[in-house]
Amino acid sequence: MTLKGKAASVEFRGVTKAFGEVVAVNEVSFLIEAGELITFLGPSGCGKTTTLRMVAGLEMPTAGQIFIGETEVTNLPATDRDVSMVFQSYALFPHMTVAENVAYGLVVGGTDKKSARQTAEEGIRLVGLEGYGQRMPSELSGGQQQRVAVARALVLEPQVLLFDEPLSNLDAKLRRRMREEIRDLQQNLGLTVVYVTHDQSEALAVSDRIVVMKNAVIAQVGSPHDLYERPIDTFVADFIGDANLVGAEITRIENGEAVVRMDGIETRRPHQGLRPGPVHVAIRPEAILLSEKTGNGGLEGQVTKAVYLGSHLEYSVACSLGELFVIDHNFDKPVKRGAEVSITFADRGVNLVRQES
Amino acid sequence: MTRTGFPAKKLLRVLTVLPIITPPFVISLAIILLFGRSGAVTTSIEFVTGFSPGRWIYGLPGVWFAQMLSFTPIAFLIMIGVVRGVSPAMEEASQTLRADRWKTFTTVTLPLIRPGLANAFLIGFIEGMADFGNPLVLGGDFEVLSTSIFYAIVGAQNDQARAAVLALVLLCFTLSAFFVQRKWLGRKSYTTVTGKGDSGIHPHLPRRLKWLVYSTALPWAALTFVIYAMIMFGGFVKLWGYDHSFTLMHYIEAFGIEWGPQGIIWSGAAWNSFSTTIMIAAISAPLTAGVGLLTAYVLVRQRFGGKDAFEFGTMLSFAIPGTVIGVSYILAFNVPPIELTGTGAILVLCFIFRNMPVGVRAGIASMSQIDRSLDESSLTLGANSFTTLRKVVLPLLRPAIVAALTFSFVRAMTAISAVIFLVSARYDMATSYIIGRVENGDYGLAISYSSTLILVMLSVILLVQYTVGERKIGRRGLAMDQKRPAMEASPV
Ligand SMILES: Nc1ncnc2c1ncn2[C@@H]1O[C@H](COP(=O)(O)OP(=O)(O)O)[C@@H](O)[C@H]1O
Ligand SMILES: [Mg+2]
Repeated sequence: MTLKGKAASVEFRGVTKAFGEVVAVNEVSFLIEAGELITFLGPSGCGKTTTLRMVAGLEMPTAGQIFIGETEVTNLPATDRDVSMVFQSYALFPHMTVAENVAYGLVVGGTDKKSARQTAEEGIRLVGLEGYGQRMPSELSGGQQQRVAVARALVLEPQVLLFDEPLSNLDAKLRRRMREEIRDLQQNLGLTVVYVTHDQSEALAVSDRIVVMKNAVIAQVGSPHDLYERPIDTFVADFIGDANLVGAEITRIENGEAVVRMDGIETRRPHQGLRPGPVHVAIRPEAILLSEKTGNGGLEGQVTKAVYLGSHLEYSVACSLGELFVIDHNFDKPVKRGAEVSITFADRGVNLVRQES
Repeated sequence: MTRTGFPAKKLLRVLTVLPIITPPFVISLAIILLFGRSGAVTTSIEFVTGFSPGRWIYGLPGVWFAQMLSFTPIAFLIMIGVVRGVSPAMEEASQTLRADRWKTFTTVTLPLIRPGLANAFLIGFIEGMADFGNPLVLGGDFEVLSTSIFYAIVGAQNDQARAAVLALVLLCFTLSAFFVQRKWLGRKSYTTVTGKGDSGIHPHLPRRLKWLVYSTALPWAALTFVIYAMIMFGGFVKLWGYDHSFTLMHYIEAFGIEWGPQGIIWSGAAWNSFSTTIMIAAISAPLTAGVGLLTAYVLVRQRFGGKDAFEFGTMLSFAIPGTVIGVSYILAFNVPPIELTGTGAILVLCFIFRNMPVGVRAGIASMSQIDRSLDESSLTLGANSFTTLRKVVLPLLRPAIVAALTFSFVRAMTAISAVIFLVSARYDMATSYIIGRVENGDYGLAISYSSTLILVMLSVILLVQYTVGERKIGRRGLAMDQKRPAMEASPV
């Protein structure tokens, strides 16, 4: 037999969770499609874990409704939900072998011993741990423990599989590999996965879509590409990738484009639903182009810092917009510290964004 | 109990700390006041039914009852550590794996706390074997090993050889319990709190279990409460069971002060033993703490072989009953060249060696957290070694110092089993004095003296807590807190 997911969708409708005075999650709504890997991304304390635990049934919402598939599960406890979770600390049972850990969910669920063992073996093989079944968790490395935790969750063929910062206890190299393995498993088995992290590069790497959270609410939902290319506000622009945030003003909307004045320079950008008035421009560091000073007007500045980083060069440039952070992949014409430069912007990577609320 | 979301949890904890600073035989005294021939419960039963229950409480049932009440707090303190040590993520993981509360409890929680249970059981066993106070007060004709040893030395027989043999038997029992415990726990101990990661919540217990827990904990708490009420009020009653009028008679008899021509006369009968006790405790506490912490410093900072052996030794010393220690001190120091029996020195010496291991453990625990580079950096900043010790190491060690000080103080005030062999008319200790009074049936004085002792220790502890802000206090509490890491984490 082979393992597969019975992937189902997850929906939150106006879900709020308060711990006494603290509102951890505030009227959040979203829909996760079946078979999708969605990441909850945000700074520490923004309510990601709480959201995840509500999907698992480890916390009950204060208000709102939760659906898994077609079924409302709002007040269903964890035991009765078809959801498995991989804990940040892995939470392997230290008194059971790897095989017993993996088979645990099946055994307590009443599966007969023999087929539970077979399924467990299958799960262990799936995460690449054949031959480790009789070890105790304490005899495994961090990465191996992580795999056991994944296998233990997988063998139940859950409708939804949850990960809470699964890589935070691993070193950088292993982190990269594990996140790829998790993504491969998810795609091969067609699982619905909800994944929590505070690391934006991890989120960009594994997700179909990302939910960016901030202060108990959702800041923006979108594919990694959407979020990077069209951040909605200064918070998202700054949190996903780097961005230089510059104050500006939309003078008018013309042919579906906003005409923006940025300290005397005028550019045209997609208006993103914004109206004339003050606005921020988020400029990606690699969207800033430096060239030899021409002297015929335009934005000019002086390089105050130049750092060689092997794969690219980093500059700090002082200009009338403030101090700009620049990344340059062009090694042919390195600019020296103190040099006077002309500054232009690429078409991509310069976006109008709202002031974060 | 840490799991039940029970509102009076705090009160329950206070009730469990109280027995820790209570001299061991006081529980028996209160039980006599309740169930003895003229005890409150006995007389009311007699009044209602016209039938006198008699002296059933003296002997096996009474000793059993008293021991149970005396040692529950210890078990409680051990179990608190163990139950807290189980990461909530374990139980949550089990729940997300479709196990209901009952399954979670039986397949995850229980196996994880089983070593702790065994630990509590064995410690209770060792303490129960070694304890001396309760059987002496309540035993009647019923002798246990420790009281037999006592009578062999103190009684008419004065048969030291017999005492030594009995002591050896007792030692065998407790040591075997100790080794069983180590062997068993060596293989099966899990600390699951990793420090990093999930901070979930412990799920509540399955319902049936919850009721079981409540129905044991609540009566127990009530009983403890009643017992302490007895102790506190018993001292103000003229003659328990016969004349319940209020009196300060016993307190005056014990702690009376008179003004004579030469100034104050300490006329109370208890002053002698009381001042000796305070003096001995006050002398031995700093010495114990000092020796203990210095030893710890040597052990942590200077690496040498035999460290493990020492660790083992300190653990072992917990398993040696005080009675055995008492007998061995008598045998060792009764004859030249060192004749110490009957002096205060032997008491101090006994306390230092008996209680030092706690100082050592407390010291090791906090010193291993102080990185060596910290005092090195202070050294490179031009401070000499002494300044380093005073300015850097000492402040960081303060909790350990407080722990060691309070522990040895309280222990010196409440110890009975070793001490009773070592006291003399000149150097009598409070506990042995009280026991003597109890044997003469002078309960009023015994009770009032005991409650004074409890209050003195309580105020000393509160004072220390107030001035230093250290929260972990208590005779066993400290011992357990220090022992716990070794018992749980390392294969001891
Ligand atoms: N059990 C709890 N009791 C009280 N407050 C909590 C509890 N769990 C979380 N919180 C609070 O809710 C907020 C969101 O927490 P969490 O969801 O863990 O954030 P994140 O995982 O994004 O770091 C935080 O302010 C946290 O202090
Ligand atoms: Mg979190």
